[in-house]
Amino acid sequence: MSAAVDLLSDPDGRDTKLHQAPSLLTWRDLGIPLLCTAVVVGELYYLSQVTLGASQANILEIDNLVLRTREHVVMTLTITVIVLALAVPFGVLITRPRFRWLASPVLALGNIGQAAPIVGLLAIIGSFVFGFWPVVGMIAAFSILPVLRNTIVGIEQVDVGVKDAARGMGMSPMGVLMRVELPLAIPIIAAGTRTALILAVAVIPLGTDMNAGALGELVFAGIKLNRAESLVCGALLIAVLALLVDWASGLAQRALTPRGIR
Amino acid sequence: MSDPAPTSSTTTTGGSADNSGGSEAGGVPIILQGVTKKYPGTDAAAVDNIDLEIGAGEIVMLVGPSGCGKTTTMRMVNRLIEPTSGTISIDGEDVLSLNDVKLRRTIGYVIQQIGLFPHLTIEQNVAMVPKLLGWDKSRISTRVEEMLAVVGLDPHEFAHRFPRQLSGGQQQRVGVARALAADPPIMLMDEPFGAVDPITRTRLQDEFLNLQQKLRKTIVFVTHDFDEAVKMGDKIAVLDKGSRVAQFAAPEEILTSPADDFVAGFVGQGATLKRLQLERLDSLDLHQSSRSTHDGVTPLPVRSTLHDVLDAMIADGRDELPVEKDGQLIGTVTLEDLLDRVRALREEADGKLSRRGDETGGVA
Repeated sequence: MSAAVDLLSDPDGRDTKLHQAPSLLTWRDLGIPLLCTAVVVGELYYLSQVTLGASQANILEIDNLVLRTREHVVMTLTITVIVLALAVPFGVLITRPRFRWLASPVLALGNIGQAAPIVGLLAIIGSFVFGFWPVVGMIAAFSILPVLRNTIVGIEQVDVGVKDAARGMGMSPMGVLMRVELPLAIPIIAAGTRTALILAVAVIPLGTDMNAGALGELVFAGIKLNRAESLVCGALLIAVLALLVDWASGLAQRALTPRGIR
Repeated sequence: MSDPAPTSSTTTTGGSADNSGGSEAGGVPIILQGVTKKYPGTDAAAVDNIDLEIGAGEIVMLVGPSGCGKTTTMRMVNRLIEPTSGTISIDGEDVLSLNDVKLRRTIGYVIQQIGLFPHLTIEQNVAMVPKLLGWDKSRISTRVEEMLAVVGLDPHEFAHRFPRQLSGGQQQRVGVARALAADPPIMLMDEPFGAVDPITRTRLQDEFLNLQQKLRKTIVFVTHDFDEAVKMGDKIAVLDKGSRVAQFAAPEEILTSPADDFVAGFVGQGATLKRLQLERLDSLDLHQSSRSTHDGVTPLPVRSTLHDVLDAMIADGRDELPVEKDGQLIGTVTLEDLLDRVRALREEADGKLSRRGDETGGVA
């Protein structure tokens, strides 16, 4: 409705639209959270209605669900911080003239790493170490590649003319990086981070076997006990979390992208 | 332009740096001596031992085929490319001894790709160099408004837009405003109007020439378009492979007496017609005619080039056309006048050529 009013108030509709900042939140953006809320509410309602055996009752207690979800979120955030802290600076470094020759080998090596099945890696690591940090470290190492690759690509895709103009008008190399290259690479770096985040949310349950907790507990308990309620509940919550993380990082990506290139 | 003698017209332009108007800084001379750029792993130098003296307030056009090293030559002036050997001085100061980043802040830079920062507003784009130079906020914003107005963009309408919301022509106006923002004495322009449509290009060229009349910057202008070089340049350096200066002279001189076959080839067909573009009606003695046979014929403005006059004569099928100045008929011009003018130009050129022949003969 407001769009129609705008068009009426300014005959040049295209211009009006361009002058205004595209709003960050639209009605469409509420779909995913609503869907997720519906799923969680439905699941909780279902759990309150069914009679669970003693073995499952503990696992599916609301306190345990909150605890496992919190563990999952904490692990995801930790992985994100580690990945960003390592991949972005390293990616920037690799795009500097002095280290540019490293880009191809690093990406090739990364791709090989990416091709190795993470389940297998977790299994191997899991036979030596247990707990939160090994799992987080393992998944972080695995998630670095999409962010690293997108940082490199994001910086390299900045228009040659724009970089030339920046240098030609007297920006220092650091100035070109901070004022031009990084702001223009943000959408692509953010897209890579989004991929890495979803990957992390999805892979964290596999670390349950290494005593890292999180929502995988529900799934694995369901498998071990041969009980569908626990397994489905765990799977649904993981899916909901993945959807929400994707949604939130999508919003963050939009918010971080400079207005002029949005 | 009214002065028909090619050499004297350049000296007037070159010497007029001191009458720069207003608070704007006029140009300073640039001297390249034995400048060479050789990339490792290549036999031939990209730029081989070029000498070039660019007078204060001149537009010098570097023109030549692709790969002749004209852009490389230009980019060595602000050290985006470091020369392998030779010296470049700006206003008597050796640029190789200066901090390259700080040096570039004192040299305007305009490129074909325009290179506006897409994530910054027009205002922020134009403000960039003053900001790098640490100007205070109020001075910057006054300057930005001033510069946008200078290049014909309404500050209120454009300052807060983003580059993608502007047409190509408008973007390059911003590009020019941005380069001029910190009032540099020198501008480097690499095919600045190469990416816009022909009509916009002509308009931008005309406006830029008008602007330059006031600013009197020293401008190194790279182009591969000889017609643009003729139009814009006080002097043209025709460059061959390795930035060999085949001829460095005023456009009039290059058109009438190209130094060698390479230059002649580059000037191409229709040199005489191009030469007519450099002559204006006010350089001719008009016939005073009381005849009123020119009813229905649009009179030509006295600022028309002889090329336009010839074109109008052919189009109208007449060999005599009326001329007006500020709406008043001031006389007529005939086809015979044009032919006489061309003959005179040729004789002038021949005289110069034979003189040059004597000189070279004397040296040999």
